[in-house]
Amino acid sequence: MTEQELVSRAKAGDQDAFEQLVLDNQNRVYTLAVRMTGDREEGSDLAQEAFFKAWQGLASFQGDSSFSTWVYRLATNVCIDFLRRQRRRREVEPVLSLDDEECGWAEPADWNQDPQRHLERAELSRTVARELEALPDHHRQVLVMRELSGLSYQEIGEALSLDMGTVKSRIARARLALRKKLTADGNLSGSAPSKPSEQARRR
Amino acid sequence: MRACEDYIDLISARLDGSLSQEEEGELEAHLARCPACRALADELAEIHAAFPDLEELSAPEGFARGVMDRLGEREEKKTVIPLFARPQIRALAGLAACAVLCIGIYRSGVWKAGGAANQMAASGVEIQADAPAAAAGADSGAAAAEGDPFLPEQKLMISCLPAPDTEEGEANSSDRVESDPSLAGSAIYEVAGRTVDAVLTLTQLPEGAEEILGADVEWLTDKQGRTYCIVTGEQMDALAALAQTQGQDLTGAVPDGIGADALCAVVLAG
Repeated sequence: MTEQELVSRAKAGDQDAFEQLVLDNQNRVYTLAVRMTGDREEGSDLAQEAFFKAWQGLASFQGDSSFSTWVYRLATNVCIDFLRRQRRRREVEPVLSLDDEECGWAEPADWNQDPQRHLERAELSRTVARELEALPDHHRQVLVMRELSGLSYQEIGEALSLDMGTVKSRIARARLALRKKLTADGNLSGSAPSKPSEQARRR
Repeated sequence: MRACEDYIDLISARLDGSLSQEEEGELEAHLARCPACRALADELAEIHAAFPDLEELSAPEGFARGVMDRLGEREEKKTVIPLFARPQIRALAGLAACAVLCIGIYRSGVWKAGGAANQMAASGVEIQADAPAAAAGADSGAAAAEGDPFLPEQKLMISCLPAPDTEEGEANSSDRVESDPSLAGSAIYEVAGRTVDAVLTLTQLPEGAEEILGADVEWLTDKQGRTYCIVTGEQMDALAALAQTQGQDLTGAVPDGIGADALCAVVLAG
């Protein structure tokens, strides 16, 4: 049965059809929620909530996009709401202090060691997934929103109450932080001939 | 010229396709000159490209079942909760009950006050000739009939209505019962902290009162040192009638329209 057929049945109140839609999308939605929150239990709860909202809003689902895209978007919003509530509960550090850390050039130990090394793409993805989970919340969240949910800078800014400049800069810092971890693990095929700081000094 | 570090944001933003044409040109020019930044750009691009292929986690066992259970719970809640068991309805019912109670209390007070004031106003002329206290009472009663129903003066009048037969009171004005200003000022319906429907104030207990009040009557003393007892409306009426036959002037002191079972107080202020 196609996704479209399942949606039609679910819209007519067929819970079995809806359960099949949940099964088909659960890993993706669960993964997003876990990566967004950094917590498996919380992620599971939010992912279930996203599906629950999908069931409730099924009547309004016009089918302009696929069900997977729609429920993924719902899950993103559920997670964003969660992060907002969480932020209100905690007294977060000022934005500046968040972005000041881990900025600047990383000096990977193996910068010149093996410039020709190419990792399998699958291996890199696995490592990126692992290291992404290890990133601090403020870095992980912007990267997940940008790379996994595909939100624009403006949408991320609205979700996290940040201005565009901060979003742009925080995403860049998050990528640098991830790169730093990956190069430290020897997982990047970076082929830099010399350290950028040296390059900068030479000019 | 910018330093290498200043190009980091541009390198990152280029991956997201959010560079202006001008920024794009500036970055290209820099990357052409700077192999380190070029390498960085390559690595960030490599990471960026890895994201769509990120391994998915497996949802925990029973995840979908959990979602379906949630749907079931909500459906069940929707159908099982009867209208009057819903918290919103219960809260409203509670509010409504409070409102009815408040209106009831308010209206009973106003009704008595209004009734008493009207009676006072109606009998005002007749009383005026009899005693100064009664005249004052009539005036204030008339005033209260037009004005604020919660004026203390009116409260006084509520419980200290003029006797229907004022002639008997003329005989002995020294024996005349006084309306107690301290009671009036605080709350005539309250005697020693006890709320009553009416208060009869006598200078002395008429002879034969025991027969009306019974042997079990409990005489108490209030804060002002006055003796009082709690009686029924019927007992109070009988006591007032007895006092009047024995020459006490109850002008403005006998409450009217009090039910036989009403809770009243007899205060001896002699």
